[in-house]
Amino acid sequence: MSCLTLRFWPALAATELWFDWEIDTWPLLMALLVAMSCGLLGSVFLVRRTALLGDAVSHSVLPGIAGGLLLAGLVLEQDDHVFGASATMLFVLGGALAAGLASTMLIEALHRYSRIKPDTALGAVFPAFFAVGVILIRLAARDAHFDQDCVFYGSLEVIGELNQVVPTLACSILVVLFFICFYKEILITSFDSQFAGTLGLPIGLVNLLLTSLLALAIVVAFEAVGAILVIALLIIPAATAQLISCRFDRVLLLSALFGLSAAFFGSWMTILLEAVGFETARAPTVAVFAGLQFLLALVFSPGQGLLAQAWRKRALESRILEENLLGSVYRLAGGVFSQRFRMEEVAAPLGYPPEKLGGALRRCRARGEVKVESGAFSLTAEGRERIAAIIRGHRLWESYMIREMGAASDHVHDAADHIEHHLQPGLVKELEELLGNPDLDPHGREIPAEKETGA
Amino acid sequence: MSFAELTGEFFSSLLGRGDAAQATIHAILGACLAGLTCGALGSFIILRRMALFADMLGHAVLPGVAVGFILAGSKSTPALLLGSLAAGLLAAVLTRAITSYSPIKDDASLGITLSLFYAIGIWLLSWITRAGPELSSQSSGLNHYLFGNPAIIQTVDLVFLVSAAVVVLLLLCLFFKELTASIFDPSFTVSIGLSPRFFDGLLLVLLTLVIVVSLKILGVILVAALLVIPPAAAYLLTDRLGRMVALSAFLGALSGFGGVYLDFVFGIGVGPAIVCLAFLWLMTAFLASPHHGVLGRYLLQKRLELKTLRENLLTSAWRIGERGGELAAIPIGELASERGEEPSATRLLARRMNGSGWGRLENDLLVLTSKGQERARALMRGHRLWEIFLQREASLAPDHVHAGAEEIEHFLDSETLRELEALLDNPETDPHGKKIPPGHSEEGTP
Repeated sequence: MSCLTLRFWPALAATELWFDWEIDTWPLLMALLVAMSCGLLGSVFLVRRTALLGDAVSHSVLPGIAGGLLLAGLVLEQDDHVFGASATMLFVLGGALAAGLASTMLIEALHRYSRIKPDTALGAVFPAFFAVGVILIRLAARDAHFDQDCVFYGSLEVIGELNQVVPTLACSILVVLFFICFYKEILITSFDSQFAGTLGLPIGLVNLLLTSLLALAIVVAFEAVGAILVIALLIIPAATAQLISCRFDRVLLLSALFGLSAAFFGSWMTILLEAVGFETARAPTVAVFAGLQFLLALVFSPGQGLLAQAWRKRALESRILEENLLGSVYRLAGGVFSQRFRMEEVAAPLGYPPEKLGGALRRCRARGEVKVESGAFSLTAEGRERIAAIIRGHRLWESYMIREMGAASDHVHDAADHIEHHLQPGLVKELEELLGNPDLDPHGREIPAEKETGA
Repeated sequence: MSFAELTGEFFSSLLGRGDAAQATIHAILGACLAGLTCGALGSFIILRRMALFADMLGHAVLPGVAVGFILAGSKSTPALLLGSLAAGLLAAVLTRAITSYSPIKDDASLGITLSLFYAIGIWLLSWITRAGPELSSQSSGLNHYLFGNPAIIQTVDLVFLVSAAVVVLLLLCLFFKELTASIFDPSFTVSIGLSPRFFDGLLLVLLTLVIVVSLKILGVILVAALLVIPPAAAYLLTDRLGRMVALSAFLGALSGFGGVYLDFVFGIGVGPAIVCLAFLWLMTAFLASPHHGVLGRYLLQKRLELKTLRENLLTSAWRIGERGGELAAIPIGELASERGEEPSATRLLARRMNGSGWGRLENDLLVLTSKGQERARALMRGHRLWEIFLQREASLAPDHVHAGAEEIEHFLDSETLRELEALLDNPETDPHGKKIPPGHSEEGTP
């Protein structure tokens, strides 16, 4: 391992800016495995709109974990591994599954058999379980060899041998196998459980397996990242993936990938930060890095990001300005398109100050849609063709509103003004057929033909 | 020390002087005030469906505590409070922004903000506890903001708690009507010119304030519990908002007091003890609340079952009476053959008539009082009118109407009966040609 490092990172390996594989192999592997299985599972619960189930389960398995530890301490002889592949782990797993199950049943009972709302039931039960857990943890901590801060901070740093990674490894393999074998079932039950029912798919079994795997993943993640930070790994990579893609298979893959990258770069960030004298725990750094990825995706995602949204809005606004400019010239020309108009004349009917249209004029001119001569401009053939299609939509829409919706003829212009920029050619065609190819609009003006054929 | 000795010491320290007694009294005052304020405000929170939002805010104030500590360089209470107030409000804004500007849904965005802010807080705390002697010597005790620990409550914390309680209770009283309207009928609130967003904002600010001042007692993870659990218990115990607020504040304060006591005696941590106690009240209310509890509803159902059973006996008796039997005293054998049962089974059922005031089992006769006969008449009348109604208005076949009428006869009140009569023009026979008993007994008992 270290020989690989030396070959690829000769410069970095020399300093303390890169992983020291003697120490870091197992913590990094642990973080990667936990993040990957949480990423995969989390995305399913996110698209099912039960993202907070992870929140609830992660709080409520705590009494199970602590109870398992206490019980193991009573039943077993001295056991040197608190976690890892040991008999204690079996007690912890059993306790956690029981606690997780009990809390979900209690939440269900509270809102089914009384008038308490589901969100209140959720918000009441899991802190209560967590409180019991904290009390038990305190009792367990009295028997030493258990660090209660691990509940909050996780303890990736202390993982020093393969044995401690084995349960996580097994859980990750289970999760991946589950997704490979049941991909179709998971997909259909997540989006259309009724349809899944008609296909005869085992919805109940899939849901049970998913929830059990979630509880399992949270328990094996407990030592690595603590009881609460695991929520970050369950929800945040999945949400990041959802910002990038809408397809379920891609969301799954991306979510696992974002989990892996958060684990890797988060761990690396801890080392870098330590090198500059900013020593932090590793698990929260991984979670914070996942959050950083989310915020970046929130701003920069190509489809859904804030920047892309702002860009689309801007593009739409400029297109509307251009179309309004061309439309105003078209109406002023009244059929004689060689006429030239000054900017003030064009802006006045739109109620804009002339400066507002400057950019639009520049763009239309660059595209050859207007011709400018001595401070005034006229429509070219291209400009006419573009705006005729818009005016056509506008006037057809007015006719439609009057004929089909019974609007008064002096009430339709504003609505048509808004919608003219959004009418698709297919819709315009449909309108035309519905209205029987009218030549004039309700105000008696000509509706331009589909292809403008000369002035 | 034994349990009894510790209890004695706990209560004597309430009257005593000295540092230890002072600390206990501070802890009790702090926990009760936090419980009172959280309980009162929480009623509005759970009704406004903000329970999970409160939970999110509780986790999300942690980075504020850490940043306040780093900036102030010490655990100065005002710095930590300001920091956490800022973090809470920022988290609320981020949650709203994520749902407004991305395809991510409300619940997921709560989860994202919760875990992101919590992670940042833990990350900063992990740095503080490792960051050299000058900062970490000051920092011991910051962990109390995770679990909560009223033993560290000082006079200045109490001052903040009292002020927060006064502000919250005053504003709740002042806007009680408006808040009630905005919770139960948002569109009405808009129609009288009040903005529901204003009240959501008000609740948000009060919520953050309460969480921030209660942090030292309960810790970031459990603070929301006190905002959700006592109000949920109160919600099961009363139907009036005013009483719910008062009851929930009382339960909150009681949990606070009890939590400090339990911690004093068993050393299990005040925050967890308070939450466990509060949850105990909730479970008690869930099981034993007279109207909304599981037990109460079970008893109600049992009463209803008994009433139905008795009424079915009455209608069987009436049918025998119609065929010329003596309604006042009907032999069990005849009743059993009418009902198609073994006489022993009918005898068992008839015994349950005792105590109803309608009749009783005497010498193997079902003896009906005049009240019982009257009830039988009303039941039969309702049953047959309903059959006609089903046949005429719901167009059911005559042989399909009996089952429906059999079920509804127990629930028809006199007003519905009168409406049925008017609608059906006072018919005299039912679809099976049986006579419908008239409304008043003078007109003839069979």
